[in-house]
Amino acid sequence: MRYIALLLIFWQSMWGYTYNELLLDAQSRIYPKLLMLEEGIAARHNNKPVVFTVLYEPEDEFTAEKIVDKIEAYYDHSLGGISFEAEMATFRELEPPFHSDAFYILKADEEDMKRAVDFALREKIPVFVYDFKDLKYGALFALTIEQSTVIYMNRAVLQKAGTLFAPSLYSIVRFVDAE
Amino acid sequence: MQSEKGYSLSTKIIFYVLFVALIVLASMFFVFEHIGKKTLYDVEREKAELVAKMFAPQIGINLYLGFNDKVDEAVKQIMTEKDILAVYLKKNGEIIRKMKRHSNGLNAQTETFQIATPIFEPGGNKQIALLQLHYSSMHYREMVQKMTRLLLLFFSVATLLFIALAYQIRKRLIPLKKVAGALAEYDVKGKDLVLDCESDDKEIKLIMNAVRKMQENVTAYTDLQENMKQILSQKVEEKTAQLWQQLYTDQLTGLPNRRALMDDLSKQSEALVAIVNIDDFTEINDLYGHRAGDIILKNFADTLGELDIDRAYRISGDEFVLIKNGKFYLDEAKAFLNSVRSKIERTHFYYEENRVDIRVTIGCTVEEAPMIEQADMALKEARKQRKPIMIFSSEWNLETKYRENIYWIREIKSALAQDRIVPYAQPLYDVEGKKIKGYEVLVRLIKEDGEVVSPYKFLPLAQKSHQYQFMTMRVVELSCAFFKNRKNLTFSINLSVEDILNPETVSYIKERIVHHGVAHRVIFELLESENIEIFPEVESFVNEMKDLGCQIAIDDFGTGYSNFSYLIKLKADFIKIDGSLIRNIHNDKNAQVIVEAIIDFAKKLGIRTVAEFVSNEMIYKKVRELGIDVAQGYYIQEPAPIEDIEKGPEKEDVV
Repeated sequence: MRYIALLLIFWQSMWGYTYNELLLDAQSRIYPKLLMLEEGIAARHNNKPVVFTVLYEPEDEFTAEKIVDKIEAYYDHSLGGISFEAEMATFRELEPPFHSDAFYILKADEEDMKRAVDFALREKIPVFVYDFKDLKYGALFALTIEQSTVIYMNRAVLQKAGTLFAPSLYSIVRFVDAE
Repeated sequence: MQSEKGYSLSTKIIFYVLFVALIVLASMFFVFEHIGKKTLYDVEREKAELVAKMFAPQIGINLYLGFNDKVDEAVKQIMTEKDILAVYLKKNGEIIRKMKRHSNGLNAQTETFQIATPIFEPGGNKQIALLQLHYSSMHYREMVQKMTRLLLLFFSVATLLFIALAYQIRKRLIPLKKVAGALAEYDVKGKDLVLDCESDDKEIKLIMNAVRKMQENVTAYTDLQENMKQILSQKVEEKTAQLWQQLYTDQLTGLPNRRALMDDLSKQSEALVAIVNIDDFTEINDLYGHRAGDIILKNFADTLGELDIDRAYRISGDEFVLIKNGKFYLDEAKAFLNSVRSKIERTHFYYEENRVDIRVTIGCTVEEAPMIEQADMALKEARKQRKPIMIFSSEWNLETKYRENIYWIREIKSALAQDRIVPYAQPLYDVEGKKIKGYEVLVRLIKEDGEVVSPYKFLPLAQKSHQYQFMTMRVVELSCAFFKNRKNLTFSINLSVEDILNPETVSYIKERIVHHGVAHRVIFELLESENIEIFPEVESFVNEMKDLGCQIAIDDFGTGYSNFSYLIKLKADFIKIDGSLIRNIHNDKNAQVIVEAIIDFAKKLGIRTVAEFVSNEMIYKKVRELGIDVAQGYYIQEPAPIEDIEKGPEKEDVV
């Protein structure tokens, strides 16, 4: 079943991509919260805002803006008592000293995807992807809406990145090994 | 008896076991009630809490992420626990999820545990919801019921064990009861102890063996005691008979003694009772010694046994009583007593080939009781009249004499209490110096009607009634007080042997003469009596008084027991020549010779002489002619109350 689902996703991307509004909405709402479950994040950002960056290809700028708007609408620059900022950036801007606390990567080329993931691994920042199949590039989180909402967590990346989250999170995510 | 009233050993043991068992069971019950139930309760509650805590993070994260369907799923998962009856999820006090199982009529308050667990935001301390679980206490109650049943089963088994134990204890101790019963009925003089109680228990066997051994010992001891008792009984009988004999028998002569005589006389109605006294028996003792005296007495008693009499008794040292039953007239009695006396005095008694002749004086009565007193009076009368035999006559009026004695004893006591014993004084006239040199103090009793009574009427009775010492003390005190300030006069006080032998009287005399300062003017006149000099107390008294400065006079010298040796021994300063010699000295040549001898002797010893009973001029002249130093008598002055001598020597001029 899992392979059939992946095949269907790949098939769709060959013909240009259309984002699922429902999924975008769920991810805009849940990804910032998952980020805030990272241990020590509040301590690290004492009085500084947590930056959540949406990475996009130029053709998805509108979608990225929509996502940032959603996040700001949901959380109004504050999440769990911590200052929170949602920003957007293209892959081309991803050059040092680029700073962010998490990447939310929309659909992208394989090269951009790998570069963003490598950057994130170096900077030890979690990577959330829109598309479940992009977990294979080294993203940490993905979210799908099946019969119910499912959060996927890439166990291989989690072990490599060394980032820790609230233990209760592990009880609700579905782990995959994709690298 | 004590064992019958108290509880038996088996009852006590059962009671103690029951007591311990009750404590153990009560402890178990307590432990179960207060610890077991609580533990079960805590375990069940912890289980509920564990469920709540297990689901709380999951619910928390889902609430955090807004996964409502997953929250529902978690609540459903909770409800899969069969003991969870209801789940409430509250946010800000409002129930946001609720799921209940059909209650089956359970009381949620009393039959469920209600657990509330706060749900916190993941990774933070912020409470975002409250999870409430209603956990069924069914399992807890089932466990409690199960344990209660176990406990009851244990109690039941314990009760049965206790009953079995009680039965065993009673059964095991029955032999002891039987032993006790057999011992209670055991009579050392009866049959042997039968111990009909066999037991397998070692201790019981040991006790029964010990009882059997004890019985053997008791039997042996009883036999020994029985023998000892017989021997002792025999000894006691012998000793009693011996003591009885000693009580009623004179040990020296073997004759019945005074006690036996009194017993016999109390049963005697008509008889001749005679007291036989051996004359001068002390001389036999003095001459041959007491051993000889005892032999003579024994032989004398044997002689009495040969007389024609019914019984003979020894009632004191040299006095025997003869009884001849029947009525006797005076003539018959005299004839009988003469024959008795004749036979006794014809008998020769010997001690170591020395012949000792015995003479007796007999006092007798043929009157009715009191026989012994009558015979005694007759004996005294015989001695007084120096007759060998005297028979009591009812005309002697014994009762009257006794009544008189009682009267005088009371009168003396009363007179002492009312100060009616008073000193009189009679001058002692210095013949050569022709003046009164002093006074002899004489005691008088003044009757209530004023009659003055001479001492010869009451003094002997006073001596016998123990009033005498008080009389002496009173005379001494009054005399000393009176002559205290009459320093040119001496005064004489008469003292008897009884006075001197009484330490209380002597001490009093000494204290008073020192107190009044009259020691150098007091003369103690010692009444001459039998063997006065043999008492060491007399010699001691004389020495003490002489040391104080007192003088000693020997009264009534020249008759009776006159003995020149004791004049020296008693260091006499004066000899008062007996009145019987002075009374007729003017016409009695013999008296003159004796008095001259006394005077001559006294002068050679430096002792001054006093003549009493100088009642007329002829006597006085003779006294002066003989050279007597001091004269005393009615011719000089008759005794007068001591106070009257203040009037002065009336007869000084006459003399």
